[in-house]
Amino acid sequence: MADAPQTGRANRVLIGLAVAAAVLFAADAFYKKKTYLSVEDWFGFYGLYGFAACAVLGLAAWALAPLLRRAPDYYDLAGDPDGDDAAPGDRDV
Amino acid sequence: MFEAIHPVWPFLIGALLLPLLPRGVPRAALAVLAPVLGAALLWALPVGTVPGIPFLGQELTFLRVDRLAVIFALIFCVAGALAMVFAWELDDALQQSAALLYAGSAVGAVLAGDLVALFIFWEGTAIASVFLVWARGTETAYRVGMRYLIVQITSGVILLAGAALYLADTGSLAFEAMTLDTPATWLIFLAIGIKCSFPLLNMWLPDTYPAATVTGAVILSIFTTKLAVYALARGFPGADVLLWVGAAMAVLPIFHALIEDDLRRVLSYSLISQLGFMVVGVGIGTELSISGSAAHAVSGILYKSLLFMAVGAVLLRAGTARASDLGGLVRSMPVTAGLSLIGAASISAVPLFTGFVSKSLILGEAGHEGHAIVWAMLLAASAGAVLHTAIKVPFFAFFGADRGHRVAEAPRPMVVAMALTGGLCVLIGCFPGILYGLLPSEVDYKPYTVSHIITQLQLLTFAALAFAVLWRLGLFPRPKAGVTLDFDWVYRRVMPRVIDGLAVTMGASWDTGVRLVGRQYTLILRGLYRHHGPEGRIARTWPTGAMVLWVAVLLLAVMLVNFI
Repeated sequence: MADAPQTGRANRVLIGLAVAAAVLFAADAFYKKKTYLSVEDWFGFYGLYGFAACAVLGLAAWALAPLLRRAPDYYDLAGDPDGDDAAPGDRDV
Repeated sequence: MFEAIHPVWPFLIGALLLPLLPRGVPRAALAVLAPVLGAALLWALPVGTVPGIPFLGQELTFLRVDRLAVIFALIFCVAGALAMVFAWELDDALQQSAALLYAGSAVGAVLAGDLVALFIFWEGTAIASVFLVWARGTETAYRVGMRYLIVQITSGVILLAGAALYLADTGSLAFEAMTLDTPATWLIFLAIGIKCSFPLLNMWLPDTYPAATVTGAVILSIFTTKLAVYALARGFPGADVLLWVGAAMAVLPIFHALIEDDLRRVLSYSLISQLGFMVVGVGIGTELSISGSAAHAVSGILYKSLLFMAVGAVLLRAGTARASDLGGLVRSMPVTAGLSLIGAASISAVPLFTGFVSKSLILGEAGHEGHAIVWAMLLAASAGAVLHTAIKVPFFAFFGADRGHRVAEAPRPMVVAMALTGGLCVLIGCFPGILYGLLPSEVDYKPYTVSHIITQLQLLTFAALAFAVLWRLGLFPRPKAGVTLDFDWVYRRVMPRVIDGLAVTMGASWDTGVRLVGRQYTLILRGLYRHHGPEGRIARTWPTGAMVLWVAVLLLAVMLVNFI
C-alpha cells in the first residue's frame, strides 16, 4: 500500500493533469483544426481518444498480467535471471 | 570518374587495430574516431553507384549512394559514435571491436547495391553483434546469444535463398523495389521481416537486448532493426501487407511493455512498437511516408539509444534494471534522470522533441491516404508510448517510491554521451529542417501548426491522465519480479516439452517393439535350433549299418517294382 504522502502527491498530480486536460479539451473551441479524417473533427477527439486508448491498453495489460507472469526461474535457469541483474561483463564499464 | 573511399573501411580497420592499441584512452578514442571518420567519408561521397566487382557472371555493387542509403548510413555513424562515447570506459577490446564491426556491417549493408553484397553485410551484423551478448559472461547470455545467432543466421540464409531464386527469375541481383508475387521476393521479404521484428518473428529482440551488456544493449538497439526498415523501404515500398504488419507491430508489444518488470525489456518492446510506425510508413508507399519512416528511424535511434543509455547507467550503478527493485534514483542520479526525461519526451512526440517532427509525417500520411483503421491503431500506439515508456521507465527507475539505492551518478563519459544524444533530440525537435533536408525526398511539411501542437498536447495529457487514474485505482500493472510469457514460450517451453515427451514416448515404443520382435526372433531361433541344432532331429547322426540296411531295402523295393 502506498503511504499517505505518496497518496497525497498522486492526488495532486491527478488533479493537475485533470485541470490541464480540461483546459486543452476546451481549447478545441478556439482554433481551426487541420484534419484528414472526419473523426478528427469531433470536439476534443484527440483527448478523448488518447484517454480511451490508454485506459483500454492499461486495463488490458492489468488483466493480462496475472495470466502471463511466471516465476523468475520459469525457464529453468534458477539463480541466473534473464538479463536484468548486473553481470561480470557489465562491470568492465 | 567516381572516386570514393567506402565508409566501411574505418570501421573494419578500426576493429582490427583496436586490440593492438594500449588499453584505455587510445582504444576508446579509436572506437569513437572510426564512426566519425566513416560519417566524414560518407558525407564526401558523390551520389551514384561505384562499378562493382565481377562475381559469377554478375557484378557485386558495394557502394550505391543515394539519399535513402545516406540518411540511414549517416545516422548509423552518428549513433555509433555516440554509443562509443557512452562506452568510453569500457575495458574490453572484444566488445569494442565487435561494436565497430557491427556498425560497419550495418553501414555497408545500407550502401550495398545488390542482394549478395547485402547478404555479406547482413550476416556481418549478425555475427559481430552476438559478441555484445556473450561478453556479459553469464549462462543466460550464452544461451540467449545462441538463440539470437540462430535466428539472425537463418534470416541471412533465407535472404541468400531468395537472392538465388531472384537471380534465376530475373537474371539480376540488383536490390531495387520488387513486388511480392514470386517465392523469391517472399523469401527476401521474410528475411527482412525477421530482422525487422514482424509479429511472431520478433521474440529474438526482447530476448536478446536485455541480456546484452550495458553498452551492448545500447549498440544493439541502433542497427539491426533500422537496417531492416531501410531494406523494406528499398525493396518493398508501398507493399499493402506492411500497413497491417506495421499496425500490429505498433500495438501488440504495448501489453508486454506495460507488464514487463525488466526496464531494458520494456524498452525492447517499446522499440518494436516504434518500428511499427516505420513499417506502416513504408507500406503507405508515398514519397512523404517513406521519408517519414526514414525520419522516424533517425528519431527512434536517438531517443531509444538515450533511454537504453539511461537504463544501462542505472543497471551499472544500482546493479539491477528491474522496476520492482528500483525507485527514487533521482536523488542519486539526477542528471541521468533528467536526460532520461528528454528520451521520454521524444518518444512521446512532445513538441520541441524529435519524435514530434517525425512521427507526425507517418500519421499524417496514413490519414491523408485514407487508411483510417491503421491511422487509429498508430494513434493508439502513440498514446500508449506515453504509458509504457515515457511514464513507466522514468517513474519506476527515478521518481517512484524510494527503494533505498544510494549510488553514484553515471560515469562522466556516459553522461556526456546521454547529453549529446539528448541534445540531438532537442535540436531536431526545435529545428526539423535539419532532418527534413536529409530525407530521401523533399519534405514540404510544417509540424509546428497550432492545430498539430494542440491536438498532440491533448493526446499526451489525456494519456497521462489515464495513467494517473488507473494508477490511483490500482488498475495499472504493478512491477513484479518474474518473466512474462510471450511467443518465445512456444520454443522455450512447449517445444522442448513436446520433444521430451516424444523422446520418452518414442523411446518406450521402441523398447516395446524391440522386446516383441526380440521375443519372436528368439522363438524362431529356438525352433531352428531344436530342429537344426547339434541335438536336432535333422542334424542327428545315423549309424552306418542302418544306412546300408535302408539302402538295401530301397534297392529291393525298386527291383521288385521293375520286375512285377
